[in-house]
Amino acid sequence: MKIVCTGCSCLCDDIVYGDTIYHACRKGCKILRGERNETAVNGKKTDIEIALNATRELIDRKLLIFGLDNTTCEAQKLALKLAKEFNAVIADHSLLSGGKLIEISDRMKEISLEKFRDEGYVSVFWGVNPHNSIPRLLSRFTYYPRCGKRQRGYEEDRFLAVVDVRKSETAKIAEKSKSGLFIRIERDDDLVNSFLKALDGKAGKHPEAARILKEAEKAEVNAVFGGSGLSSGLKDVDGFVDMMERTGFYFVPATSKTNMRGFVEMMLKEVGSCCYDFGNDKSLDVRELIKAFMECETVLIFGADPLRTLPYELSSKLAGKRIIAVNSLKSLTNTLNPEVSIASELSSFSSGTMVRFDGVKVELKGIESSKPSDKEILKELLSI
Amino acid sequence: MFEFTKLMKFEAKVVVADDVLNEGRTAKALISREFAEKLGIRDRGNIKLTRRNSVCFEVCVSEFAEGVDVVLPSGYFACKLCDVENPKIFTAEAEKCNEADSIPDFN
Repeated sequence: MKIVCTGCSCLCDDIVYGDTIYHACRKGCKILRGERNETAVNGKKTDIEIALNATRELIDRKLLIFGLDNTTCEAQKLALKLAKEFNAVIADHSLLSGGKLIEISDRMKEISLEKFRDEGYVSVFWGVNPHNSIPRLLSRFTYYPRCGKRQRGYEEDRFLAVVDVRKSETAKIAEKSKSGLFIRIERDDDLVNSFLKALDGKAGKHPEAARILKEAEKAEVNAVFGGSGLSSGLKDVDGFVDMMERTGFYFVPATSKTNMRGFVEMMLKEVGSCCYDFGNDKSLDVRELIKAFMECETVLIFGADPLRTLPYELSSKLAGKRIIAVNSLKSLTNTLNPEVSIASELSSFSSGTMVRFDGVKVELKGIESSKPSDKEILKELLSI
Repeated sequence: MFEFTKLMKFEAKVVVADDVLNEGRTAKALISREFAEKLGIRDRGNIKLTRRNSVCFEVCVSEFAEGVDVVLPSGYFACKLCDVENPKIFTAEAEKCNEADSIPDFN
């Protein structure tokens, strides 16, 4: 059976799932073979109807909906509807990692991974280590493939540049390759300035910028893949956008959360911000989100593990709250014995659409399953 | 013999990174060779990082920490040290310790 892997935002659609899993990376295998969650109320195993009734009783008081990065766009829309209906706060991980890049990406030229695979020459991985966060990005789309206009392989037809504060695994590939280079930076804005200076024929702090620009002259399609390192380190956003415009590079926000782009795009379209409080009718910044975590009474978590992904000053606020955790896999948050734990079906086996990090919509076909998908759970809660 | 290095504390530049191979229950971190020598620590030794909270990590001396002092795999322990303003990169106080922390059993 062919499925779409929802292990990361690459959404690989060539996974063959059966007794043996073919084509999946380590991240995908971990999700597809992961230990499944169980439906329980107050720590006791129960069936889905009882868990949904218990949830209905809990969600009517000061609700905060969190997660949703691993669910389908359809489920995200229903979650937004639920948040509106209950005057709740709705948020995902985008305020902390990568959301900023998705927000600014419409100010730059964007490119699909397929087009880059066929025509791309220079790929700059800036603050992202795809070796671990998006494991098949190099082999499927950016550096290793031979296809389209790039038939001669990575040593001649691709150029890899890695920008990072440390020598990551991807940086090592670039450093070892004849057609690659690694730029170690301390501040992202220094490299932006170096690019701008190189464009004016001057030398900046990072002379490697000039070499990247020289390589980029060999092809029309070159791209910067910005990750969470760039998102947290970049201060001068306008300078970065200016640099991208002047260099003619395409931009791809390489966030690793599966459907973060879908969530952020939906939120920007509907309410203009990726974190919103419908009770007070205003968008929240990260400090206000901490306050919202403190003030809420019930937290509805969808496909997320806040204990593993949120800074302690946020996740510690979950103590004493009534938690409803909807997860397909066992998570650390589930060990907190939430009031309600609902086992949902893996997104890979649910039907719907997700948005890949380059903005391309990917269709998930879904299979017959005894477990409800996030969309079905939300439909039940909304009594649709 | 008394180990003076046990009393020494250094400021460490810490980076949080995705690392799919490092998600066990024990707190583990990558440490640069330079910083390991400064602390007087070997592969599979233990360091305590303090920033808001303290976490003890078993370390692996690795080239992938070159450029910074310590690389923490994203997860429970990294979340205990980072904050919302600095979720990826921050400085912490580092010292030697005897044993690495494990994820507690919340039940």
